[in-house]
Amino acid sequence: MSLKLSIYTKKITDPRTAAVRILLWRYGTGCLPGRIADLGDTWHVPIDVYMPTSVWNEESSQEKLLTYHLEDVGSLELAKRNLRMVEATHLGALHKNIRLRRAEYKRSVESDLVKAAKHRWGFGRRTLQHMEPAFRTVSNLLREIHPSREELSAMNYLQQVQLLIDIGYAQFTEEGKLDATPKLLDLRRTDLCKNDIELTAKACVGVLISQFYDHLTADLRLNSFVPYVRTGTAYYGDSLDYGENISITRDKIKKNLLEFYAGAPKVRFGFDVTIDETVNAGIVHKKGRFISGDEEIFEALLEARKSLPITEDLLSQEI
Amino acid sequence: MVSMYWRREKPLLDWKMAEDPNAPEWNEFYQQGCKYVSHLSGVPLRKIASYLKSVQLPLAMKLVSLHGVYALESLTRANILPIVLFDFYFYHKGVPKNPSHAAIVMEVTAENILTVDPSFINKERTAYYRVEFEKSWKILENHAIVIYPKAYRLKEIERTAKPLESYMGVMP
Repeated sequence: MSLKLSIYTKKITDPRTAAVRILLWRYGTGCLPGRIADLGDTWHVPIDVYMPTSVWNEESSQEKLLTYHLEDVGSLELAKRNLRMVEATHLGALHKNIRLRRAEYKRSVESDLVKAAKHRWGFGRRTLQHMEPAFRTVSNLLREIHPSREELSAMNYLQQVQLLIDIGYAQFTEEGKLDATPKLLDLRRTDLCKNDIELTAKACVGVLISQFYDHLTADLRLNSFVPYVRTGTAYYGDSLDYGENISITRDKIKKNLLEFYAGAPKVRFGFDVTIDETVNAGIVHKKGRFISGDEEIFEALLEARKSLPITEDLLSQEI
Repeated sequence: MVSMYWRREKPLLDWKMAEDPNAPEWNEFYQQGCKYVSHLSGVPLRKIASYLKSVQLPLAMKLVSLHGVYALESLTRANILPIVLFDFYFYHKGVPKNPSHAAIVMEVTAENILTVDPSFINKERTAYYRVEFEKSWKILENHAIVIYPKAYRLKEIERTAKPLESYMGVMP
């Protein structure tokens, strides 16, 4: 029964072949060595990962296969003497790095979405919990109530009022009273606000969030609108990967939220309420039992897709 | 798929699996094997080797960097079907982007590499053009997985890729 067989193999003389063999054996078939560097006695081999993923359009039941190219998610050190491995990233650490890097790319959609959705952020039900100073100030200005700097300071409103001034919706008069600018009055006359004070104040708050999101969340520690931003990102992350305004289920949005924001402060209750409120704010739309995106926002976000390191798999068309 | 092939080809070995590929044991074997596939970095091949050991099949696995397509040819002639790893995207588009593609080589002809490619729903033979295949296989340094009966003795003969001039001192 025994059979002797000779096979001709390559003699491993270069670090790349040695690295490919170690990567396939230890980490998986999706890994390739990056640019190999000479470190004296050793070769430093960064690990690049080509990570396949799929996105479903639930309505049409079509799937697209995509590949993420994640560079330098781990490394190997090979001894020059015998091309043996001296040091390497642990498989668990490599997987953790891959997850974090992918979540990072997904979150890059977040900043573009914040800019693209503009005034819509102001229409979330919980947004005004933390943006009340801006909302009340705009409402007062449109009702011809002009607070002084001291009054605003006493109510602790000055930080958000300063942002209104920076954006050009309010200004202090020579008498030290706050007044509405023509820009704010123009906003009030738009089709969106219909001369309504409350709608104008909400739109104004939305624009404020859109312009100063990082400052509001990181410096002023305001976060009542953050769930809407994250829910929007959980939808548009998939929709941008797919390249179309697709329909996905609520469950998929929840799954994405947990994946993209793993490690973030965990407020894991009220998912359904948050999704409903995001729909009411006009950031995503309800389409039967599915959730779909807003055409205007999606068009604005399409540019962001170009910067993501993904390619569509050739087998997408086969399935 | 390769294990099923060996089950049929070498029925006298110490098999604990049924010959019928539709038997429930094979289903379990397949499902257990799928647990080793990581969607993040692909399949670490050492896990396949340890899996074959754990299920007590009379098969062994080797990861080899073959010297060229002719080495594939000699394997298929000996009825050993290697699993080649190559860049599928590079094969079609000329850009390296999808290194984790694998196919079972059935036959090597002057123009084609005939394979069974499990990526396609249709499990019939898929022919890859030899020249393009060689280039996309080279990205993974001609690596192939060889699964063979433990009773076989596989001897690796190492060949350098240096040209003749390097031995004559003309090239470094």
